Amino acid sequence: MLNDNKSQVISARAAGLIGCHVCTRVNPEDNKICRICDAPLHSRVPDSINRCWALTITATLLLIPANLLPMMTITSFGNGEPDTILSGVIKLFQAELYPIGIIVFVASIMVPVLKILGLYFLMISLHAGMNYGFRSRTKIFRVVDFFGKWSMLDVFVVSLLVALVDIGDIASVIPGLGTTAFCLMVITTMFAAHSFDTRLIWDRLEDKDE
Amino acid sequence: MDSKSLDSLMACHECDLLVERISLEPRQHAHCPRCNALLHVGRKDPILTTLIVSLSGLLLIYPAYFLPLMEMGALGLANDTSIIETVIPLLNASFWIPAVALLLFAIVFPVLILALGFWVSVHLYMQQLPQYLIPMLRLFEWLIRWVMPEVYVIGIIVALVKLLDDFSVIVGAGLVSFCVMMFCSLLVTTTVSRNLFWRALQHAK
Repeated sequence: MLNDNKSQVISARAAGLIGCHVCTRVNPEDNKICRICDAPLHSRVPDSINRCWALTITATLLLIPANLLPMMTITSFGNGEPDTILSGVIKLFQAELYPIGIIVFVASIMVPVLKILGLYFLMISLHAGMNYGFRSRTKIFRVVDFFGKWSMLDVFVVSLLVALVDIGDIASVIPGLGTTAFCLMVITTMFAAHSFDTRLIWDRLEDKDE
Repeated sequence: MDSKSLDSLMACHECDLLVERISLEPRQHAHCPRCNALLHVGRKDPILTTLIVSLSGLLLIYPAYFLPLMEMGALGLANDTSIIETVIPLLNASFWIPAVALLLFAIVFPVLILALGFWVSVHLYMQQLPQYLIPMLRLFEWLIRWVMPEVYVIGIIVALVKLLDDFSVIVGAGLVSFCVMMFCSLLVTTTVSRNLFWRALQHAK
């Protein structure tokens, strides 16, 4: 069965097998746990799309307080204004710190928005039964998954500044509620990406062949 | 199908294509012919490399976590905080979620990755199979998705550049050792051939 030409384009599920997501070994479809690593086996991630929708919508809602609430307030001799993400980036550009400004802009503003849009696009494409662009959609997912954690950058920067800039009355940094919202937003999008099963994109290709 | 013919196959984790499992020379990469996902990478002595890299990282725990990151001052007043102490002000301000995220993603998980990498590679190197090896290897696989040492190091650089504008900063031993340790942690997650780890386990079984 596996030696004819068709074996070139057969999925593990069509062959009655399940690939383990942890150790990559192949198991017969009757196995409940992997024969090598004991991990629970699923041919496809259970409720992948529903979970991904729920988490992505939550992340979208969290995006609002994350951008509107202040991330931190830098005070010097008791004076200081709270900074949101956007105003922090603008201040970096005004101080002519362009490379850092670009890094923060990409990590904190571009990546979260594009990541959420990318997940919506992938989920809608599955619901619409899109049967082309398999490779490019898988690539979109890879990018979304890879850059997701970079959004934690601003949370780390704020926490470092809070800890380091504490010189009596001369200067101090107070964290803002935006940090919590932002942090939750990043974690939610990471869970959303982890729950998305790219194999669902390719199942459509096999349905088309039949 | 017997387990030997099962072992000769693998399913692409991204598109579920059934492909033949091939063994690779060091530095060769195997990609899925259908979706181009990276299936596995050939490594030279992956177990020994992991052992050395994780041990080097572990040796740096004390300086990286407890020595001052930098000496920062203005008008004669100074502040010398270590990495562990960066969590405390957030906790004091009741910012639990960012504090826990920082503690887990940037401080606990990188060390856990090093410790697990060391523990697993020592046992595989000596071809021992302790009872908890399999759950430990699975924890290792899970941690790889949630560890972000490189993000934290860039965060430190961004914070430094912001500070250099207004304060005098002297980089401390803590910062240097922390960056090296994070680099070791990153190496353990990227250069380790997880495929070969599982294969070594399979052979030992």
